[in-house]
Formats: sequence, C-alpha cells, structure tokens
Amino acid sequence: MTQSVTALIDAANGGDAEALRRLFARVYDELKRLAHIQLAKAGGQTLNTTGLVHEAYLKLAQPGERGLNDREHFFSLAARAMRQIVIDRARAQVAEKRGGGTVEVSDIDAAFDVASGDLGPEALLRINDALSRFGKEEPRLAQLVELRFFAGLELEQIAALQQVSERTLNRDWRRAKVKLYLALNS
Amino acid sequence: MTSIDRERLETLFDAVVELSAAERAAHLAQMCGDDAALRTELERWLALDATLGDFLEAPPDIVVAARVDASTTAMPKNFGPWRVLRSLGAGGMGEVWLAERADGEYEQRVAIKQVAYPTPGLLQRFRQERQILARLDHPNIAHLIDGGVDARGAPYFAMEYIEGVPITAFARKLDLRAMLELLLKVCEAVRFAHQNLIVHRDLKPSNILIAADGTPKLLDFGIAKMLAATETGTEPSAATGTGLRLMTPGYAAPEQYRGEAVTTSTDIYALGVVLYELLAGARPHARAGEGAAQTHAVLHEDALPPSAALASADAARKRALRGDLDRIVLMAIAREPSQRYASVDALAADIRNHLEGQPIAAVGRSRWYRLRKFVVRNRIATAAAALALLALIAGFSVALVQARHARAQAERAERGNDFLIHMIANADPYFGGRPPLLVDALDRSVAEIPQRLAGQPLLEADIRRAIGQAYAVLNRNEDAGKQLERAATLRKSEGGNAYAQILQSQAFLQWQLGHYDAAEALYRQALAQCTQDASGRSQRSDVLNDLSSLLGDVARYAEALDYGQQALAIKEKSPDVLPREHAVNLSNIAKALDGLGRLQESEAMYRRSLNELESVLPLPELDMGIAYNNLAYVQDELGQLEAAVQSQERAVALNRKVLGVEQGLTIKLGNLAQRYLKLARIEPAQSAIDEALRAAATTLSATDWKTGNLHALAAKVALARGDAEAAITQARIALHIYDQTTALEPGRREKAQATLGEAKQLAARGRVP
Repeated sequence: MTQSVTALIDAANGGDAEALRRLFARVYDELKRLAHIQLAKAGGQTLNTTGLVHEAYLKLAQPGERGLNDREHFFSLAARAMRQIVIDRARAQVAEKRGGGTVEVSDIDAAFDVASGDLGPEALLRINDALSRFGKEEPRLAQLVELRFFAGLELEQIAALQQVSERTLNRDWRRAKVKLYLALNS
Repeated sequence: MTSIDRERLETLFDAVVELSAAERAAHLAQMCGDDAALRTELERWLALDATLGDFLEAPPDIVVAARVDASTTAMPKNFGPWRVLRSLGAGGMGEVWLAERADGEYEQRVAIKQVAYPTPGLLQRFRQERQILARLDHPNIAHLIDGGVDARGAPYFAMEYIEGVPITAFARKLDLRAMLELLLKVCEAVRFAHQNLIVHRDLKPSNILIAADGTPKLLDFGIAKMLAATETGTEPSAATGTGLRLMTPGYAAPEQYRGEAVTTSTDIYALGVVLYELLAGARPHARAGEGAAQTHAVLHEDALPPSAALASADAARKRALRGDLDRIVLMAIAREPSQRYASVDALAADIRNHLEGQPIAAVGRSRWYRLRKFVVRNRIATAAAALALLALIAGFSVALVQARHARAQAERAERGNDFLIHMIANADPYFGGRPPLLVDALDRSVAEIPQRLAGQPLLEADIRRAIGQAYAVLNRNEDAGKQLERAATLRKSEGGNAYAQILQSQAFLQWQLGHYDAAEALYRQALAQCTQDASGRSQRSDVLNDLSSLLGDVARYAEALDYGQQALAIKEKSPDVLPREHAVNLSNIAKALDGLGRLQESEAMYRRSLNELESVLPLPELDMGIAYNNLAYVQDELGQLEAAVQSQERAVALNRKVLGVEQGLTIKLGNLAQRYLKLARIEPAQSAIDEALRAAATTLSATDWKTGNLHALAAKVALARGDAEAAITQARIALHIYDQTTALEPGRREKAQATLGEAKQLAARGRVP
C-alpha cells in the first residue's frame, strides 16, 4: 500500500528510518519518471533539473494541509534525490567511456546525459565527491549547494524555505562556492 | 598557511565579500592588520569569488543522448568534408581534432573544434567563439575556415591549423631587435582585434604560435570578449563567464584576479608579460612562486624591471634592457589599468621609438603610484596622521571634482592635480632622505603654493582649506589657522558652499582651541553661506550637526537638540545621505536628550545610532566608541549599572583598537574603572585604573586636572581594596595636582580630601592590633 507523502514525512520526522528511505525513493522515482516523460516529449532538447524538482513537488505534495517545514523538508529531499540521479548518470557515462561495465545502466538512465555548462560527467563526479567531504564539516553549506546546484532553486526560494535572509544566503553561497572549488582542486 | 585562523578567515570573507573593490581595499588593510598570511588567503578567496562567477550557477542539464563523441572512446571519422587525422587534445570546451580535406580537392589541414557537452551554456560560448573568429580576418590571427554540424547533428567548426611553436620558444634564437620586431607583429594582430571590439583575455605564449616562416598567429579566442556587445546586440556580456578556466595565472592581469572589468588594457598587460618573458627569460613575479603567493605578488607588488630579473648573467643584455625597455615593460604591466599604455598602438609606438632611438613615452614609476605608496606608508604611522591625510585627500578630491564639473575649468583641475602630485613627490623616498612624514610634505608644499597655483585663487583656497584641516587634525593649530584664514580671504567674495566649508573648518579649529563662542559664530556664518540647492542643503545639514554637537559640549542642550533635529530632517529628505553621517547625527541628538534629562529617549536614540553605525562598512569604530562611551553615562544615570559597564568596555576596546593609547582612551579607561568600582568589581577596577594611569603618563600633562581625577579615583579603588597606604599616596597626588589648577570642577577637591580622610582612618585602624 502506498502511503501518502505527507504520512511518510510525518513518520520520517518521528525518526522512522524506513519511512525516510521510502520517502526518498518516492521522490527519486518521481523525478526520474518526470525526466523520462519530459525528454520523450521534448525530443532532443535539454531539460534542467529545476523544472523537474518543481513539478515533482506539485505531483507529490498534497496542498493545503502542510506548513512551511514540510515544504523545506520536501525540497531538501528532492535536492538530494536529484543529486543522486545526476551522479548515478554521470557515473554510468564515465564508466561507458572507459569501456568498463561496473555500473548497471537501466533503460531510463541510458536515455540521457548530464552536464552543467563546462562541467561534464567527470567534473560532476568530482564535485559530488568534494561535496561529500565538505559536507562533513559544513553540513549547512553542503545542503545549500544541493538545493541551489542540484535542485536549481533560486536563493530567494531557499531563503523563503529556510526563513533566513537572502543576503545571508548570498554570502553563504559565495563562500560555499569558493570552499567547494578549493576542495575540488586540493 | 597552517597558522591561518579558518574561522576568522570565513568571518572576514563574509564581512567584505559584498563590498566594492575600492571599499574592500580599505577594509582588508584594517581588518587583517599585520597578518599577511591571513590577508593573502583572504585575497585569494576573493579573487576566486570574483572568477567563479558562473561556477555551480547552472544546475546540471539533462541532455537527450544525441551523444557527442567526447563521451565515447571512438574518434570520429569525418566532420563534413574533413577527414580526422588525430586528436590535438582537449580544449576548454571540448575536443580539438586535426583533419584534412577528404575530397582531395586541395590540400589543407585544419583544426576542428567540437563542444563536448551540448549544454546551452557551452553551445552559446562555442557559437560566440565562432562568431568572433568570423569577424577577425587578419594574417596574424588563425582564421575560421568552415563550420557545420556532424552526422549526429552536433555543431563543429574548422579553423586554420598552425604548425608552429610558442613565441617564447621561437624567440630564443633571435637577437633583441628581431624579438621586438616579432612582438610588434603580435601587437598589430591584437590591435586589429581591439579595433573589432574584441578583447582576447587569454594572451600567452601557447596562444601566440610562430609558424615556420616566422609569421606569428594568434589562437584561441575561446574566452574572448566582445566589447560593447549590447550595442551590437550579438551576445550578452556575461555569457563568457562559464566554467573554471577564465584566466591563466602568470599572464592574467590584476583586474582579472580581482574580477573587475576586463578591457583592452587587460590584453596590454598580457602583452607586457610576454615581452617581459622574451626579454628576461622569466615571467614577472616568477620568484614569488605559484598559487596564493603569486596572486599576492600580482596584486600588491611591483615586478622587478626585466634587466634585474634577467635569468642569465648576460651583462650586455642587461645593459640593453636597462632604461627604455625596462620602462616600456613596466608601464605595460602596471597594476592599475589606467597606468598602462592607453592602447596597443601606444605600446607598439614606444617599442618602435626605442628601435629607432627616439625618446619613449613611458615615464618610469607613475605618479599615482607614488601617491599610493605614500598613503600606504603613512597609514600606520599614527592614527592622527592618517586622519589628517584622509582630511587632506578628501579635501583635494572635493576641490578637483568641483573643478572638473566645468570643462572650462579643466586647467584648474589639472593644476590642482599637479600640485598634489608634486606635494607627494616632495615626501617621496625616491628623492632621498629619511622616511617622510605627512607634516614634512605639508610644510614644503605650503611654501610652493604661491608659485604653483598663481592665477588660480579658487583652487588655491580649496587646497589651503584641505591643508589647514589636515594641520588642525595634527594639532598644528597655528599653521591651520593661517591656511584657513588665507583660504577664507580668497573664497569670501565668491561665497557659497565652498566658502561655507572653509568657515566650518575654521569653526572646528576654534572649537578645538576651546573658543566656543568664536566657533559658534563661524558655524552660523557658514549656515548663511549654504545655497538652496541639493548640495547646499547637504552642507547645511552638516554644519547644523556640528553646531548641535558644539552646543552640547557647552551644555546648551535645548538648542543642541533643535539643531540636531533640523540637521536630521534635511538628511531624511535627501536621497543620498551617507549612513554614517545619519547615525552620527542621531548620536548628537541622543547626547542633547541626555543633557535635557530625557534619559529613556536618549538611550533609545543611542541604540538606534549604534545599530546604524554597526551596519556601516568599513565599521566606523571611532564613532561607535564615542557613542558607547556616552551611552554608558546614560545607562549609569538610569541605574543600569551592568549595561553601563558593558557599553564602557566596548568603548574602551574600540578606542584602543582604532587609536591605540591616546587621550580619549585614557579618559574612557578612567570611566570604566569608575563603573567597575560602582559595581564593587574591585579587581577589574584596579586594572582599568592602572592602565589609565599608565596611559595618562604619555597622553595627559602631569598637572592636568584630568590626571588629578584619575589619581583621586585610584585612591578610591585602593580604599575599596583595603590598601590604606596606596589610597593615601594617590589622594595626595590628586590634591597636589588640584592645587596647581585654576579651572577645576566644583566638589572635586572636597571629594579627594574625603577619600584621604577615610584612607587615614583605615590606616589608623590597621595599626591597632
């Protein structure tokens, strides 16, 4: 039986690890499903992650009953899921290129490549690794990078979600970029 | 590097990251103090922040797998009519291939570029490079030959393939003249690009290849920028900022490190670096090493002249470089774009002048450079000198800006400028002698005014006012008076805001001398001179605020409040009031409210003022120190003893930080000791009064009644501690000082005598077993 996202969030908030895992899986699956549909429709175009995350929110969140905390919770979950999707795909791309077969590639995955500007799959993987390392010292900044980069949320939206000033976030973001860049190049 | 306090680094980064480059500069110096490692690292972070513009700004794109070959191991066979021979390596945006005409029509080899990941951002840049190359048809620029889409629909373009070597490698076998002639050809190509409104931004030897026949070719316009792109409507200017490779350390200009506007001057810098490398066999700052040290050197240090940096011990070469070539190169790589050659043409012309034995235009160390050096040297000398210098430079700037407003007065600005420069030159160590002081420069310059500013009475007035104000801040009151008087005479018939400013400076001087009536009269005259327009209103607000503060000093609180509020009302209607001035105005009103016994309102007003001051950058610590000191009085009167102590502590800390040991600190320390004593916190009271007395030794005259007050307080602290003997000594010193002063607050002597009495009683009790 599928539990509603709201119920899963409640359970996860109550410390239910299994609920959290299932919540993550739901969001992850929904994002991928949406990507697939969109790409089929778009026919050779590129999509970015921002639209997907917002659409997943509209799909999964039951409007009306939840407050701000759950929106924040949802988006941080979605950002993490999006990161996972992008990184899974980047890993597969790199593995393909090397001719290795260590990463299992599903049909859906094979349908798309990921890249951001100059950053190809290798660079995305390096960013992911750096972010994981950096997340240990600076969980808050790491989460900001997830929300901003992987989920493509605007700082303004993040500020509203986390109820902090946009100015503070802007400073955090610039610092996060510098630190992440240094971590990438260390 | 390990000694850097990461937390502090991050805090400082947060504090300055949103400031403009100019504001940062002033701030960095102040915040980092002597910690060079911290400053270097902070600058590196800021440079990164500036160059990382688009890094992580675009969320990953999900691209339908119309796969481009970069993601597979296979080499493409063909691009349209071109047959791929081999890979030439990966460029900034993707792969570059060597290919030749497949249909055998004619023999031609090309370099083919293809974008690795067809994301919108990369495609845009790719299109831009292609567009730029299409515009640049020049024999010394590798040109665009063909472009199209490959079998899978991914775009590519083909450009002239250059079989050549980097200019530095090629030039090794050349003599000096041939080397310079080769560089002239490169200049010609860069000039052509600039003429087409294109800045290369990444000139370096590997992008300047010399073909076997000696023809130089410019390559890689991958990060080039189209100037005035908005005019031509071709491309938004931000489009080039993608990714991580935006500059090449070692060749990038300081403005690129700082993330400031890139102009044709940036290419001139890079050409200068290349020339340096050709001449000296090493890059400028090569000795600084890599990474942060290099960044620091590029941003802050002057490169050695090529003759001094020469890698080989070739005496003849050294002689050849000394003089013209050293100067040409140093001018091309000046840290400030405005100090470099104005165009590539000007650089080329100077190289040609040198080749032809003509005099060159480059003039050694530039004049502004001297000014900057001077300011830096004097920065830490003493706080008063720094304030005076600020007053001086601010005064000059105002004078010059005013002069510049009218084109007809351009000569006036020019003359003023020359005068300032000359004044700085007077103090410059390049002209020998001991390290100069601000006062030396002032003294010598004053003597030269009649000759240098002849026929420019208004400019002379403004400059004399600036100098007078500087003297006043340095406590050279007599000299200040002379300069200001002369300034006033020259400006009097003209009148207006500039005259009002002179009167204001005169008032400041009288106030400082304790001539309160004279100061008030001058302020009132200044008010009458303020014009009715915006700048006149701002000047008026400024004077009213000063007047309010003065009247507060002489306990005419009701008037002080009135003027303070009038000043504030003007500020609140005007759009461009500086936040600091607004906050200081509030602080003056608070002081008047305190005097009127409206303590609650006063306290609230101080808090409002402090709140505003705390958001001003750079932090106006001196103003904050005064506000906290005064707030402490109000809190004390309100019975908020604990809060009063805290405010006083802050006042002392700020004062100590900004000005070090000076009179203000001495007084504030005394106040602090008093407040501790009131709370019966004897230990801190003791250390505060000890420090105050030590400070008094150098900042107050031994017979000043303020010194007497400190000793009286020390007696009370000693008494509270139960040290009768020390209490007696201190009280006696206080009374001794009081005996020598005529102006003494009523009650002081009596209180000290009472303390002495108590101390004696305590001593007597102590002797009784």
